[in-house]
Amino acid sequence: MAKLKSKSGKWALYGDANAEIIVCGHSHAASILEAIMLPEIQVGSGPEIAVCYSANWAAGPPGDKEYWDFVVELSRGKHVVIVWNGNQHNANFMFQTEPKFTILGVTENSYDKEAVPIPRAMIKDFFKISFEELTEIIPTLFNAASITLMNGPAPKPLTHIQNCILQDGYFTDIAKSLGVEMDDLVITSDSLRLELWNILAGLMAKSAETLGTNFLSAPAASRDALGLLSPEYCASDVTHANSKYGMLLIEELRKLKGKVPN
Amino acid sequence: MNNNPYLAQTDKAFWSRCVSRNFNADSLWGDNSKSSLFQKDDLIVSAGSCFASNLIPWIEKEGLEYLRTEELPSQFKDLPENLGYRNFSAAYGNIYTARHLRQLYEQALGVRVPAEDRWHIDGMVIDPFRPGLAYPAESDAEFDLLKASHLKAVLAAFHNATVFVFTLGLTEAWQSKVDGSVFPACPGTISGIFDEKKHEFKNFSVEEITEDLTKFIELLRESNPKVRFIITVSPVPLVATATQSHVLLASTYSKSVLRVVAEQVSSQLKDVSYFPAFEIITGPQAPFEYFESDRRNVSEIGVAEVMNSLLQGLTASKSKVIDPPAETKQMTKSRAGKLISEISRRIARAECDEAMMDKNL
Repeated sequence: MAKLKSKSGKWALYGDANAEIIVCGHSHAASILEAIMLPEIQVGSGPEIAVCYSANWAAGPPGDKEYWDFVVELSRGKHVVIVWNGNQHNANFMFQTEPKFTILGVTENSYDKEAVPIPRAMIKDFFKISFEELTEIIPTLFNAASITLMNGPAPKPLTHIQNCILQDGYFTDIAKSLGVEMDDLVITSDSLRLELWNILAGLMAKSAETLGTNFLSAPAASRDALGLLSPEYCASDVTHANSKYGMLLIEELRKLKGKVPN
Repeated sequence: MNNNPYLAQTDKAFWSRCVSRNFNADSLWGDNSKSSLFQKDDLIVSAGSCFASNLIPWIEKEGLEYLRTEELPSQFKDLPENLGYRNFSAAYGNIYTARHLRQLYEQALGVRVPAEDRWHIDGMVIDPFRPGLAYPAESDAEFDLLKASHLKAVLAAFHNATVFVFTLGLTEAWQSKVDGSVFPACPGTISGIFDEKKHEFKNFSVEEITEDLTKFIELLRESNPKVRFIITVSPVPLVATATQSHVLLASTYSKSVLRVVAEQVSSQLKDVSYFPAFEIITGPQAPFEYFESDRRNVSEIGVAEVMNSLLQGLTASKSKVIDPPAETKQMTKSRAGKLISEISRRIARAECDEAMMDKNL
C-alpha cells in the first residue's frame, strides 16, 4: 500500500499521495493506518486519508529527523494530523513504585490513603519535556492547510493489562531480565492512570493553543462509563487501540477537515 | 602557691592549653569518654536553618539512618526543588526559629490552625510556611490534600526519631499580627504580599526562645518519650536584619541569644545535648578558611571540621579530615578533598531561602 518513501526508505506514506489529510506521528497513529487498510474504508474513503509511518512496521514507530523532513515534504496544502506520543502515562506509571502516589482527581473508590499525594504541577512538569519537540516541528509545517494535534487513546482497564501481561512472554522476559518477580509487579489503578492521561490531554490542548493548531482528543464514544478505553477498541497489547478505534478517529478527522485553516 | 579552685581544673579550662595550642574540637563538647552522640541504630531527624541540612549527607555517609518520611516516588526525584525543602526528614524546609518549629509540630498535632494558612497567588495556592515550594497546589482542595500529607509526614518523622537535631538559626522573624504564626521568610520576599496590617517583625528574646524550645521538647516527648536532642547554633551570620542595627551587631546579638538558649535548655532538660558547631566555626581558633570569601557562608572545610567532630567515635578506624588549625590547608588539599567532593556538590546546591531577603545575593 505504501507508495512514497523517504530518502533512505525507512519511512513510507501509506495511501494516496494526493490525500487531503496526512496523518503522522508516533505509535498511536497505527490504529488509523490499520483502519485505512480495512476494505470498507478503502472503498469509502478514496484518496481522503494517508498515513506517514514506518516502512517496516517491525522497525518501530516514527520519530527521527528524516521522518519529520518527509512529513514536511508531504504537507504542502494538506491537513496534517500529528498523533503525538500518548504513552507517557504508561511508560512511566504502568506499575506502582515506592512510595505509592496519588493525585487530586483520583476517584474516591480507588483513592489510597497510604499513597503520597503528588502536586499536579509536579506531574505537569514531569510530562512537559515530552511536548518540547513540538515547538520545533510545528513551524516547519507552515505550508500545511491546517495542523491538528491528537493524543493517544484513554488508558485501558487494569483487567485488560493484567491479561496481556500474563499471556505474553514478552513482559515476563523483561521482568526476568531486570531481576523482578512478576508477582511483585502491581499495576497502578485505573483511576490514577486515567487522571495522568487527563493531565496529558490538558497539556496537549495547551500546546495546541500555544502553537496555534487544532487539538483532537480521544473520541467520547471510545470510552466507557469510567472514562477508560472500551474493550471493543482495545488492541491486544497493553497500550494501543485497534483499527476500530482508528475508524472512530477517521470520522472525527472528516469533521475537522477544513474546519480551522491553519 | 595557695590552693585555689583553678588548680583542680583540667587543661580544657585554660585558653593557653587548649585553644592557643593543642586545639581539638572534640574536647569542646560533653564527656570525652562518651564515644558518640549517636548510636548505630539511631533514627535521626534534623530541622533548623540551612546549616542543619549540611549534616544529612555526612550522617548517611557514616551509615547512620537519616529518617525520611516524605520521599518522592523515584520517577520524580530528578525534578528540581527550591530551597532544599526535601533535604530534611519531611519537606518542611529551613526552620529558623524555635517558634516556627513549635508551631509546625502543633499544626501536625492538629492543635493549631494558622489564621493565614494559604495565599492565593497567580492562580496557585501557596503555603506561607513553605513559600518556595517548586510545585504549589493548583486549588484549595489540592492544597488541603498536600498539606495534610505533609503534616502527617512531619508527625511520622518526629514521633519515630530517636535523635532530633535542631539548629537554632535566627531570633528575627516575621509573624502574623492575628495569631502570632511565624513565617519562615518575610511575606513578599519569596512569595506572598507583605501587608503591614497583617504582618509584623519580631525579634525573639532569650526567654521566648527558651520557652518555645522547651515546650516543643516537652510536647514531643509526650508522644516520643525516648527521643534525645542535639541542639546547635548556626554559625552563619544573618543575611539581613530588620532591626535598625548594623547587620554585624544584629547578628552578634542574635547568635548570643541563641547560644544562651542552647545552654539553658541543654543544661535544664534531660537528654538534650549542646553541640558546639558555632564555636568550632566562629571561635578565635578557627582558621580564616572556615568561612567563604563573603565571610558568611561556611566553607566545605569548615563543614567538614564540624561534622568530623559531631560524628567522632562512631567508627574506630575513622580518620579525621581536619585536626589542628595549623594543618588545615595542607590536610584539606591532601585528605579532605576526596571525602568532601561527593558531598560538596549537594551542599553547594542547597540554597537558603533566608538569602532571598537580600536582592543582591
